[in-house]
Amino acid sequence: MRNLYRGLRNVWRNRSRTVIVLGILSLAACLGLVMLAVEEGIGSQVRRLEQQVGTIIEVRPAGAYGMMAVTDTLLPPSMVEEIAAMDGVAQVSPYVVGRMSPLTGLRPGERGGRRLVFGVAPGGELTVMGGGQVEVTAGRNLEPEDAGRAVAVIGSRIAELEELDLGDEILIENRPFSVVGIHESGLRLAAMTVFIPYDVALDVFGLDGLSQIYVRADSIGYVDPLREALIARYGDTVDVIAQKDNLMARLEDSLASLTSASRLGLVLSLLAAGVVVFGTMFLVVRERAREIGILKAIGAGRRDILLQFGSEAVFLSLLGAIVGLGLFAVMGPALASTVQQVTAVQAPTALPRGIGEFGALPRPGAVPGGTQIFRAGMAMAIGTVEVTLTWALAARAILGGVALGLAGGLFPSLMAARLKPAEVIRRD
Amino acid sequence: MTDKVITADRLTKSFRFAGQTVQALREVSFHVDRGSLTAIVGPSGSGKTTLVNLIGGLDNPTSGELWVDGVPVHELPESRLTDFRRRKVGFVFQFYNLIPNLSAIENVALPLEFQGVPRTRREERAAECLAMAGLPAERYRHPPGRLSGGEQQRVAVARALVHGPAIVLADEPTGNLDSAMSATIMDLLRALARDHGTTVVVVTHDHQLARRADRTLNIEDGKVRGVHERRTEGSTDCG
Ligand SMILES: Nc1ncnc2c1ncn2[C@@H]1O[C@H](COP(=O)(O)OP(=O)(O)OP(=O)(O)O)[C@@H](O)[C@H]1O
Ligand SMILES: [Mg+2]
Repeated sequence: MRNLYRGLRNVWRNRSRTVIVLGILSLAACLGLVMLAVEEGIGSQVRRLEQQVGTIIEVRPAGAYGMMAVTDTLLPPSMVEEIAAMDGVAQVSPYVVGRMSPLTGLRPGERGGRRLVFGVAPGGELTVMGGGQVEVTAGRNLEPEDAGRAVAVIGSRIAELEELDLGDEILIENRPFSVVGIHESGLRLAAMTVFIPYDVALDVFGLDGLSQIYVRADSIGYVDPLREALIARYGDTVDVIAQKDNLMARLEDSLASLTSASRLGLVLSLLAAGVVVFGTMFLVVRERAREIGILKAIGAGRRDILLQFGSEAVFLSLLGAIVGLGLFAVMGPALASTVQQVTAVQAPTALPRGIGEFGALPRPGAVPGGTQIFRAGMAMAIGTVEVTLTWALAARAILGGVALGLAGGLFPSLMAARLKPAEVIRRD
Repeated sequence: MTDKVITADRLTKSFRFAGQTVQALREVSFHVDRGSLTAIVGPSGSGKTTLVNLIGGLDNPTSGELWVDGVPVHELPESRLTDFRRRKVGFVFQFYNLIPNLSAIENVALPLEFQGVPRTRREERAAECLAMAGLPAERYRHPPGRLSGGEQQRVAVARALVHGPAIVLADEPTGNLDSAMSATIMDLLRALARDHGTTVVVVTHDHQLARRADRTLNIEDGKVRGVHERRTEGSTDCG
């Protein structure tokens, strides 16, 4: 006990050095904590996302490669009612995809072919490609009573190009639709879309079926039975894909750079702190060699010396961790967002909100720009991870501090314990 | 009763340094009576420090035998030497060598800490020894840096005897003090030997001081050149 107490007191023997060392240690601890917090935050966001998106099952015509692929086979509209009656189904979202004739007045690079019309169940959230949610910024969303009515919610870019306003008419396949709402999204692709009720879409495009159906299960536990039931019922005519199965792999793929950067940062800051503890204790032992000899002469054993210097190293490192926690509390959030900005996935600056809240994520490569949309969706869904000082983080910092003190102080303390008293007392 | 607390028999110590061998002690034989004050004198480099380091178990002899209070010190491995120092030996050094960030009384209590003596008992005993060494009570809580050289050496003497060792070894304890203070410290050590039956061995350059000892061991070039007994005023060659 007394050995530990002396170790604690000795931390303050050389105050200016201790202050400098603590400064370095606490900075390293703070950085390490930021990395840890960012990584953890991403992990929990991913789990949250998995919970949300993981309940989605995609039903599409057999062989269709993604919902953008124009296939001859479509899903019979009656499937919507049938699936809705199945066990564990929370919601069924039919999708009809059609294209509008090219626009005039496009910017270079803006392709008219991308002007998509989505036929959706009126009353639900508007999501582009089943992924990115858009926000109705003027007028209103489609409502259940809109079923069968020629009403449309159009993207802001279309409104701009065609100089359309609420109440105006837009022609889709030569049929006039009344503009009831305008939706906004930073993604250019989304700003070029139109939403209409799906039954009207079937009619307008002369289709006898749906492009795709998204089924949301009541909970993740229903996903597997539901998928089995869907396969049993519709067999070879449809492909049934549960989002949860390939979601994690894709998420991890697109977050790999951020995760590996934060791991590297964590390892580097731990290493730096370890070297500082080691170096400081090494100097301390050399400086106090004579005193160690005296302590041994008056009865201190190797164990006493080991404990005294070991505890000095641990206290020093622990103090660094505690001050680091304080620094983290003050500047952790700012540092965390900087780290995320530096290492974040390359994404368009403004993005549709709420990807992953309902609907599937488009498969990269299924459509031109699909990968980009997917990554953009990921970055947006993950968002900027908010870091806060939690008890778990504090406990890790404390444990880390102790471990680092033990690791960095071990060799110098052993060196101290092995000093030969006669030799070091002789040195002047 | 002539109980021999230290017996050295052809004690030899050589150092190897930079490929050369230095013979610091060459077959030194002598003995020290329990409760006596022995002075070791001799020119610089004659091997005085080497000798007290061996007696105190700070170093191992190259050859020969050394018995201290019934313990064969020459045979002890490092782990047993620690125990030997802890129980049997008290040290006083030339430069006081107190721990700078511990108070006087904490410094004195250190050897008891290493023995595992409980706190209150330690403090009592340390205060007792400081009083015996003549440090004013109001200075017990002061750090060494606030004490004069003489006061520091009083603290060092108290620290050397706090655990009731069989022998107290002092290597030039007065080397840094003026003559009056030197005499005081020497008297303190002598009183210690006389009143507590502690055996004291003092290395000194000062022949005036050596004269206060019961016996003087004269060392030259790693050998005992002569032993001077105060009572008999005689001198015997022994080497
Ligand atoms: N660790 C060592 N390595 C090499 N030589 C040493 C070592 N320790 C002592 N010596 C040598 O042994 C001899 C005796 O040294 P010692 O310190 O015992 O002398 P001393 O009588 O105490 O001298 P002083 O009066 O100056 O203190 C010297 O020649 C010294 O250089
Ligand atoms: Mg000497």
